[in-house]
Amino acid sequence: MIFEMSSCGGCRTCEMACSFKHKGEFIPAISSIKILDKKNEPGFFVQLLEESEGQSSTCDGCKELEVPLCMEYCQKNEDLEKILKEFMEKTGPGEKERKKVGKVR
Amino acid sequence: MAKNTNVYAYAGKILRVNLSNGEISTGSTLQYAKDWLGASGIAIKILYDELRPWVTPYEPANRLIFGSGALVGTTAPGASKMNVSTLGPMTGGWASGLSDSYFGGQLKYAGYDAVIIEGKAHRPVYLWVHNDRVEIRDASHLWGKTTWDTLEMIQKDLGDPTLHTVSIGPAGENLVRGACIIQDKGRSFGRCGSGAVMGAKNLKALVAKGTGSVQVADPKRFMKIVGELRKRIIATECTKKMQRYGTLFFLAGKQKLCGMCYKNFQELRLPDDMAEAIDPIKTVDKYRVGRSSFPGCAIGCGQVVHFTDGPYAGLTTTNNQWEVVANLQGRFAIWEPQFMFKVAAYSDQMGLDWDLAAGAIGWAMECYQRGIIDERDTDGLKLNWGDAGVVLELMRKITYREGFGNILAEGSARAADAIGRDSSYYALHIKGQDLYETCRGDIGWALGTIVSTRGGGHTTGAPVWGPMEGIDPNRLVKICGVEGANQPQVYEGKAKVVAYTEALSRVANSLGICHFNTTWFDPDHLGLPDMAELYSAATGCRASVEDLKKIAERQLNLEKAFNLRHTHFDRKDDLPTPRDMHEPIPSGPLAGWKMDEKKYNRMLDEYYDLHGWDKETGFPRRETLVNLGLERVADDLEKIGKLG
Repeated sequence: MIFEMSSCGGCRTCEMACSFKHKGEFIPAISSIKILDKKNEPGFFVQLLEESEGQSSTCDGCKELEVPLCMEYCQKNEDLEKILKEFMEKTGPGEKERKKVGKVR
Repeated sequence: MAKNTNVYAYAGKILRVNLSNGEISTGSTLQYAKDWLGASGIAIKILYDELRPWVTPYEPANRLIFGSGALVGTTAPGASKMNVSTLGPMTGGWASGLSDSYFGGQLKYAGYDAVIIEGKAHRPVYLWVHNDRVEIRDASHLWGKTTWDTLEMIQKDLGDPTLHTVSIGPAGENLVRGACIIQDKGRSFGRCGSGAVMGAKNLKALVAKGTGSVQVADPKRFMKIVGELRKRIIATECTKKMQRYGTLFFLAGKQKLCGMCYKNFQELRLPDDMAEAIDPIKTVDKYRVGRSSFPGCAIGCGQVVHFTDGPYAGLTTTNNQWEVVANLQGRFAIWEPQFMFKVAAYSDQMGLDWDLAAGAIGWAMECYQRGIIDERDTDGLKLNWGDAGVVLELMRKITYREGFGNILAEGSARAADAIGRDSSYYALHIKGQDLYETCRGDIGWALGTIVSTRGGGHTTGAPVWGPMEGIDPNRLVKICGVEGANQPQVYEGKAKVVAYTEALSRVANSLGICHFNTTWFDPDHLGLPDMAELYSAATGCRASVEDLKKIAERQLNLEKAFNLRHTHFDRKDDLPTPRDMHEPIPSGPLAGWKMDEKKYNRMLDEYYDLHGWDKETGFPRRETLVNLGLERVADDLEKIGKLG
């Protein structure tokens, strides 16, 4: 699922954090969040994976954590929070049990 | 992805590519890590060991070394820096520059901490590193292209729009002495002419993609430290300003300190109405359309602007940082506020170091003002202050080494040699590299800039605290042990502040941490104790602050020794330019202030003492080198009569 995030600066630290959450190592190639360059205009898209693709894992919203790890490492975490909430609403509770996203302190 | 076992933070391998015969091999990073830390530290060791004293910059025997910092590829704050080091054509000695990069992380995920390029390709090539697969590919179709086009064409060639490059533009291809290497479309490995070395090797670009991992030894502890440090950095006032404007918010403070450059340093502040007219904050606010940031950064200082009107309407680019405001906009007295963004974008596209261009064009404009040169020298151009069009035309001529541009492409020092007519006084350079720093009025900044082993620059030891407002001096005492560290006109203690900053810079550069995320920029950002903690948790090798300082001192001494083998530098090259030494500040709050030659020399004596270098020559003493484990280097210097 792809979302527009005009405030994203493309640092992709969220990808590192996400892979760390899955594997305990930094492997952006396997992260559930992907930052995609819009190319012909400023800004980035945020892709959250509903299903695993290749090496990449499904986004479960870091359900065991109060705050998803990608948000902890996002300079514009309030915008990413909205995207995560929308993603979880759209993908339904199902196996992704998280319904609430905590705030970065 | 195959990975060396028991290697933490580092990828574990160094890739070596010989472009002359196509040989590709790998070695271990760990043989260097303990004594040299990473990136620029490892590079100076390899350069010193592998380059014989008679090698010159453009020869195939020269090495061009790209190195990712030890913490690059992790979430450590600001850990996106990549270094390029070589024997450089500007000073003839150690050349080293850093850039924010995505490439650095990708290189590590591909399994390599560094790439050593040696030899010279028979035709233009680029290097494609994809995990274990390393290819030298034809770049004939890329030769002559800008760095921006090169990025897009390589992405198309390899069918992957997510790829990141480091490349040269036409300036590097044409061996413009100050050509630099560009990461993607912006952020350069600036100064020193490393782009010209890349051009001499017929190497257009490197591109890397990796699907492997970077592991840390103690993940839980590492992430806890990173989390705490990020919170600290994000909370500072400095970060808040940086997030909105990058370093462009400096203008008011620099004006107050007479820290600007106007008409080739004839004045050190801008006329107030000009400062008002060019205020970059207003331009960013008006044209900002997005942000730009790099992996791990806790700040995010890039602003994307798109001009919808004005002379450069249609240009979309990332903002320049501070020195373009002073060194190009101010130096050439240009009132058009968009010029700084245009000239930075043009330099990035052409792979031209804007500070080289600023030094050479600034010299030419002052010579024109004084009647030393005229239209017969300049291909008919009138080099009047304030003419943005003529500056951009000169930059084009420099890039293509065309007419008068062929002389300017050599930098101001060599251009003045070529023209003669007593023009060298207006060629403002340190060790042959064009000076872009204001050295009057801020003593610590001046010393750190002037003694820099890479030749006239603030990024390897100049303390920045002078013009920063609201810094608690007691915090600085705790950090560097000096009272008055942020009092710009006080000579006492500045040698010690510079020695501290030299260590901080080298450790940060070796770990790949951007200066803005360190205490260099704000006392609440990462200090050496934080870096020691991060490094220890990441690598599993316990390192104290003293250990890191010793590694930094070892690096500095080897840079110095490398310079002594390849150049004629001595104490005279650690002195300010004649203009900075002898001319008072002409106007502004510090009007009349003048460098005190005796006090500067006493400060330089103290600086040499702190490093264990001879006061007469600036050469390292044998015991200094031996204490750092550099006995063989001491023997080398003794043989050429350069031991202190």
